[in-house]
Amino acid sequence: MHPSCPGLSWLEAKRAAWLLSLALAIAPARAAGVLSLNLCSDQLLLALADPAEIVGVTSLARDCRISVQCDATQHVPAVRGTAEEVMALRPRLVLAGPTGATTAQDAARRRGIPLIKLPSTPDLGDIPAQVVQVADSVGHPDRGAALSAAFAARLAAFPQPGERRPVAAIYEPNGYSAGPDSLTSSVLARAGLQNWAALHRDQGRIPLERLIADPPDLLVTGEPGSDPSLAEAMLWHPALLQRFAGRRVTVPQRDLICGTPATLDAVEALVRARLALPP
Amino acid sequence: MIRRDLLATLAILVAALFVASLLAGEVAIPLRDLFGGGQTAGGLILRELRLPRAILAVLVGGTLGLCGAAMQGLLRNPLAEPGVLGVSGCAAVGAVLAFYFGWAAAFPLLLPVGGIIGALLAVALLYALAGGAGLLTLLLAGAALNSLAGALIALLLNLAPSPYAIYEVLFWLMGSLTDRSMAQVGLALPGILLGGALLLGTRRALDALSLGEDAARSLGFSLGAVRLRLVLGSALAVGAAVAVSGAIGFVGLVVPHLMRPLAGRLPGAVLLPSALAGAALLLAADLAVRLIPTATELRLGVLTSLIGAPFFILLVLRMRRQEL
Repeated sequence: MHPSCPGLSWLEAKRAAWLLSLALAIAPARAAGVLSLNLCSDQLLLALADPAEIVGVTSLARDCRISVQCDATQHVPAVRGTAEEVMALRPRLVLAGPTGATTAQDAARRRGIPLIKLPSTPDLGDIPAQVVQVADSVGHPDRGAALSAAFAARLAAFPQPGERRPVAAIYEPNGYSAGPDSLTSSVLARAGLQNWAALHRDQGRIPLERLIADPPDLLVTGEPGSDPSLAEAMLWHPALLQRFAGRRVTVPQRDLICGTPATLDAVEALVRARLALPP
Repeated sequence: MIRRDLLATLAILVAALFVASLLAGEVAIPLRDLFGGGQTAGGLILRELRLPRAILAVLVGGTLGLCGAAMQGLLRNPLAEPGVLGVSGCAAVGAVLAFYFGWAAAFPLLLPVGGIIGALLAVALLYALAGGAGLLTLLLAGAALNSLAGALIALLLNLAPSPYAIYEVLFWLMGSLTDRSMAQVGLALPGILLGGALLLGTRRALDALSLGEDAARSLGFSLGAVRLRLVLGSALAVGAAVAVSGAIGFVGLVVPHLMRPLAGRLPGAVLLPSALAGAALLLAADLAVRLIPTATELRLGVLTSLIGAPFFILLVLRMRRQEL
């Protein structure tokens, strides 16, 4: 190691050089674009901006299980969300989520880079406003207006909840279930379903036994993953399969993790499942 | 006679804890519903959740107790045990490899086979490193294997394609019987039965071995064959057990020491009582993790380590005193 750069390993040096070259490659053409540090802001940015206007999204956005925009990330660099990346990429705007990447956000503040922290969207109604906010900030207000109008129209077109409101439990890997003030709960409500976890004042991890002893009318889980894990294996436990045969629906996880226009796909799937329930 | 009484008492204890394990759970269910059968909630919970859990506690606890006693006899070392010596950890490495990279999804039997191969490599390596050597060498070899296994598990879980994998390191290092099903019982059973039979078959040879290798040879036991049986038996049983429950520590250390004053000093006489006592201990520990009200269920290995580690320290202290 060279004495003048203590603590900088060869790998770090290589990484810094790569980031520098990346920054230099983009810099001469125009002012650098937008950097996103959060999976949810990633997806809105990818939906609203052109790839050339984006200097980076998190590597999570490339995972099609949790990101609806995974296909759009092909021509966009992936970042880890570190302060070093903020320094090297010199974005003109940084988008962040409600939590995480705090050091990177501090770096943006210190360098005077505009930073927008997008709050979480615990209600379906919060999504159009956030779409407009991101669209305006990246310079495409027209796209934002069109997307939010389409969202509002599609949301309004779902049938109104009926008299009978069946109970549904959303069972996530490791047995977690979302409580009353969550996007998931809002999606269930719009689909005309009651949230099992909210009714039982029970959030966090729900044991299999409790779900079987006091079953909801409908069990909602993610799609069976192709990559094995214990967390997802419990959703396919024989006891659950037997108990909820014919009363179970899968909704892709990516539709519920972040509030995006695709969240309405989850509403649509749940409305269909509710209408298919035996009386 | 004392021995028969001991075995009967232990068997009754295991049976009582087994029934208690069926009755206890996250929700209280009336007996009538529990044993009503059919597709009722109670029947499902009993058949698909509590029964596999209780059976696995017996199988895994029995395996760990038996293997602890057999390894202590084979290595003539009171601190030998699958967990302390890294055999369980290496079995977990094999199971992790088979489970997270999709092989076990295609061929379920590859899960216990992965565990068995991991355990076999560990036992073979231990024997090669520290077979005739002293206590210290064996424990150091075990410590090295344990660290290596921990690092390999973390590495493999980091590389595994599932985003949940890395959060499951605790299951493999600490063990759990939560939410297991009859499928896992079926996967673990062949290895555990075969390994257990191999180990129990070495009773007389172990007794002879305690008189010294020459005495054992003069009594007609082939040392090589005995060792091979013990190595294969513990690898089969521990590998299959760890593949479905994770590495649960210290059961194999504690149990033989508890049984020795009751069953006699001969290593062979301790084997069967240790298997039964191991089953009872794990059933009791698994009951405790369900009954202790924590927000997330305690890991089984947390409890057995809390009991086992102080016991380990006590054993070390006693050995020090004897040396002085």
